[in-house]
Amino acid sequence: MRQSAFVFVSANDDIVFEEFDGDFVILDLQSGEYHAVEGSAAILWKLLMDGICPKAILDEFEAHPKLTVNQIEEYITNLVENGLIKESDQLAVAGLSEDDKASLLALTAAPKTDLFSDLSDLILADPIHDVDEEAGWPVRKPQ
Amino acid sequence: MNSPVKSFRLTIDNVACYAMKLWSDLDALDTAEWSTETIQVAGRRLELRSPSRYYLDLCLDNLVQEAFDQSEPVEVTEVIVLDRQDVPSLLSARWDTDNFSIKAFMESLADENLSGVYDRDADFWQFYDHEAKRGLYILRSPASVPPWEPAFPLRNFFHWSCQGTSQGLLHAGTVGVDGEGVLIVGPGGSGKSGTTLAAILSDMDSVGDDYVLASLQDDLVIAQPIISKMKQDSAGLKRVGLNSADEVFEGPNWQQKYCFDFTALGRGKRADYLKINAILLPRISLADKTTFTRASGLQAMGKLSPSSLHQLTGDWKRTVQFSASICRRLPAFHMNLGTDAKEISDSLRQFLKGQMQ
Repeated sequence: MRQSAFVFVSANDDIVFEEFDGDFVILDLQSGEYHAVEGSAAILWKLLMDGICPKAILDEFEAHPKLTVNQIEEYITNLVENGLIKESDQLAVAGLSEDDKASLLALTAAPKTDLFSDLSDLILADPIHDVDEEAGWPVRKPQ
Repeated sequence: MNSPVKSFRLTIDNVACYAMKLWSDLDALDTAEWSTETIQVAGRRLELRSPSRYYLDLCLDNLVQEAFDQSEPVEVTEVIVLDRQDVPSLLSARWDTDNFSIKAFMESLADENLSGVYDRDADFWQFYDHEAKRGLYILRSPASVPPWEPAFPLRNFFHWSCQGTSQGLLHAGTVGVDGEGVLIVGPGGSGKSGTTLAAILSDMDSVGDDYVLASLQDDLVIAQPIISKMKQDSAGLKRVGLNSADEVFEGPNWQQKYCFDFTALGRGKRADYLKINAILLPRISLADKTTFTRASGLQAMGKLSPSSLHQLTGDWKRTVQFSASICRRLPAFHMNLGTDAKEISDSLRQFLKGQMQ
């Protein structure tokens, strides 16, 4: 992760994210988890989705006044491990703008995403119901 | 002894075939004795057909119908509603797979331009054919209509019919004056319905308190009525000076709430539509006076989107995107509620006037 110069993208078509004045919501339709992303986390998410590679971001935290490389790297790793983003096979072309660098330098709080809502009970698979042919209707299989 | 019911070996992959087979079997039935109602709701002409009156009457009682010209050539959506006892020969589903996933179920249907749901707990099937504009709703028995159904009959069908349009259902209350208004958004207990009701009793208009149909027109958000009744518990009615024993109120329902058509209260009227200028997020503050403070789009989204995702089946991605479009277009405000219904409605009226300027 630390040295990755590749673009990171949303992990699959089941990841939906929407921006509101720099904040984001992310819905993972596979897990049913719905996240609110604000502050440091929102800035990092936007940079990653804009095609900035982890290495370029993490380099900015080598001499950061408030946050460490490890904190940021751990956050990006969590995004990958939670199935929200993945490394693509495309090398990053875009770099950080001066405004991007200034906003990273101004961060004071470690990034985190908050679970907004859990829809997993609606979306996740469960054991199939069998049919009660007498009633002509599917019924739950005996456990 | 009853003859065995025909069954269809159903997997997630062939669920669209099952739906089409059901439709083709029904097309072959003699349905001359069935009841039919043609209505228009939120610009949609619906032909409802059923062997029994029960569900048709539910629709007539609870959906806001628009006047329409029978001779006008418009696209008509047919929805058939029946139960197994009405049509005992109807093809039964025999699941031939180990796991049921509503997401996989809906994705399989989407490949054939269908939407649908098999509700495991409430015992019903619903299918909607986007191309043929027809819906099919199969209940287990007349008594198995889910308890939440009367509040919004055909909810999923309206939801699915919004696909490919700039319209969507919103779980929100509405209040307005002179054709312009606000969405009032919040979970149970937030004061959403109480605020809407207080405003209606102060002669403000509304297009509904539970679900409304929203349309995005350029930068505008327009809300239309779709369901005629709102719900409130006995204590909530009492807070605004109403008595649940009055004949206007039906119930209590399964949530211990009373259902009523707010126009029967003789105060605010049901507007044909409202141009929406803001989103209000009410919260009980127990302050002397009601105040409004700016909220972020993310906070508005947090109140608006999850309940829609929970209550509307499928098209989850579109539901998120549509809610987000609404929250990006409109300013949002926390509405810190005072304790007096009259003071709340007066503050809301002042707020509406400010937004209109």
